[in-house]
Amino acid sequence: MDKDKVLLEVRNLVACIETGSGLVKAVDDVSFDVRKGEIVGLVGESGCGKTMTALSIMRLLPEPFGRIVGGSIYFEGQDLTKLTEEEMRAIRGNKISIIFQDPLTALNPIMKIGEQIVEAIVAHRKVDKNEAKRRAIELLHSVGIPDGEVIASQYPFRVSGGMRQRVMIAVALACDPVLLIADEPTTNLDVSIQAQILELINEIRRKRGTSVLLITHNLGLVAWLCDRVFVMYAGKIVEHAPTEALFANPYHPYTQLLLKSVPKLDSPRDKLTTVEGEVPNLIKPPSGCRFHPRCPYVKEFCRTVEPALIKVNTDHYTRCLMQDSRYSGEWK
Amino acid sequence: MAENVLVEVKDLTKHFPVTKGIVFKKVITTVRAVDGVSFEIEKGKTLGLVGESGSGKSTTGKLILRLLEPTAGIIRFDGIDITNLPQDDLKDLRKRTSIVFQDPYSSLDPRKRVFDIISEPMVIANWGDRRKIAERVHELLDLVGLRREDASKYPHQFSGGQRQRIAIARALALSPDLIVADEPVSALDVSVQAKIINLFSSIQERLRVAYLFISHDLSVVRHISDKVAVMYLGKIVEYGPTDVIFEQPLHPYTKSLLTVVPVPSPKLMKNRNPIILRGEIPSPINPPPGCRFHTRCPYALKRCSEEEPHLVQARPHHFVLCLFWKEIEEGVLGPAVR
Repeated sequence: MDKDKVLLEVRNLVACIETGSGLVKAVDDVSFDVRKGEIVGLVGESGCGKTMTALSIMRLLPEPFGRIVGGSIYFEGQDLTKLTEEEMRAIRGNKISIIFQDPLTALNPIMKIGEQIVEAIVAHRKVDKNEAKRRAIELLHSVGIPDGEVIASQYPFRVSGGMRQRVMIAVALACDPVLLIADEPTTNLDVSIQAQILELINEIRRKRGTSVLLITHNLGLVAWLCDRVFVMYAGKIVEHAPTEALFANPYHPYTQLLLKSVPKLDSPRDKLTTVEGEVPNLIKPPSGCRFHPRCPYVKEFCRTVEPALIKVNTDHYTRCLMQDSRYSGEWK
Repeated sequence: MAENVLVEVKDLTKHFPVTKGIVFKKVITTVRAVDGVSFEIEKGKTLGLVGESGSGKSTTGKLILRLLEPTAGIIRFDGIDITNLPQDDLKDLRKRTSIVFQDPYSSLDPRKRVFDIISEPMVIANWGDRRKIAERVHELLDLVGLRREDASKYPHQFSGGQRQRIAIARALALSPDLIVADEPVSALDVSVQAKIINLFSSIQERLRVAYLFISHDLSVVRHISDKVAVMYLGKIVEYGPTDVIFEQPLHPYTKSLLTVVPVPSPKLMKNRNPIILRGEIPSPINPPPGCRFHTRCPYALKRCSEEEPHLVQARPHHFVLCLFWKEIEEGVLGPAVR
């Protein structure tokens, strides 16, 4: 791996959150990296820790209930976990931006759209109000809102869902970030609008060279946009690979089942493969391999031995004992 | 009407008045949510209704259950015209139809135990004595893959997928002939979604119940439906057998949607040429004149904004609402270059 090209490097990140029923280790020893100009996918089902990972990078965990308890997040050479809130504020919204799933709650309802973009610009750039306004309208144009002047003077509730998501992207792009975190950016949108937003994200990467960390549960989005993908299950990365390799040759039983359980446009109408059981409760995660209670290939030692990430191919890693030479013989 | 048809809908229309004022209400305009749709649902089969938000698919579902009063059109259920049946005479229809909603968190009463939720339709319909009902609840729990002990629990003790199973058990309580399933898997995680889709399929196989399956997810609709109707702004723009619609779509809207559905296959995604529609779905308050899709259609000509198309039969069982479907199909008319 070319170290110069790595923009974000998350190493052994552990993040906890306090809930009514106990402390949850939502992110448990997670490591991944995002290279310059790359779109990386972080996929998993609800509760797997993908949003907690995103919030950790932004240092936006809801303290004191949630906090980073271990690991490091290197961004352009500095460890974000060690920064003070003030230092972090200089990066957040400037070099790293985030777009959330629900733009209606993420945007300020009592502030005009234009003002919200201006706010993001003047927070980090020494420009006068007029220049910021001009730039705000330019940004609206660049995210595909042709009548930016009109939209800038509207409140968020006045515009459609797709439009709001574009506005949020404009706010995120206000300071030309090098890393854009997109947390389920199209989950609430209609198919035709989703396509517009996805192409916009693709275009932002192409034109500005922005790296994107795409967080989603939708494997279709990953196939559409991502160069590499990390699969999360119960707080851990269980597999990662270049997108094509992962879809063509998934090694982890969870990835395999996940891919098979999605109805496809071109597949016959057989019974869909399903993953037995439910996502485990992370207050008391399963021992050994976290997937063992649901795994169709489970062996006795899976319940006790915690698997490590094992290299199965160039840039392709999986967390399964079936690929571990010390145990793989048991499945022969 | 053919023997195997359960529901027949003709020119069904629902206009919602938009009013102004509180005491002296004044109708200022109407939302044309459903505007002259026609389709059939066969006994024991599934009709998939796809479309984006605001296309009128949920309204259509509620209309055929008479949960909303139609403005115009005819609904026949098992040969009987139910369009104008007075509420008192709807009891029989209520026993033979039911509905499953999208959000299993708000569709189940949080203060009721699962037993009471599932048995409520039977109690209302005077279906039998307490012992018979208890037996039926257990039978239903078995059918949807829940444990009998679950009957004494409350909805909050279940996950989203399990709650949807409870909602399905309730819908099946009186052995209906038709279930309207309104986005029943949209709120669920991928792996849970697959289980609920399988459950819908296996129930249909065993009980021969018909579904009107409403969804915005084309992959799900493809998987579960025998026939598909694609809605856009209150109109059905394409209607036909599932495989035909998905393999040889004729309407530009359907064609576009099929190129932009994210599918979990990087190879397929790379090789396809997405037709990305510009703009957004217009307001049903003041739908565009002529063909409602013309504002976003890559093939639109001037005539499209002047003349309203009618649903025409393009191939056997395959209907399309487009003035130029033939020209597009033959390659005479290509998309506008942008």
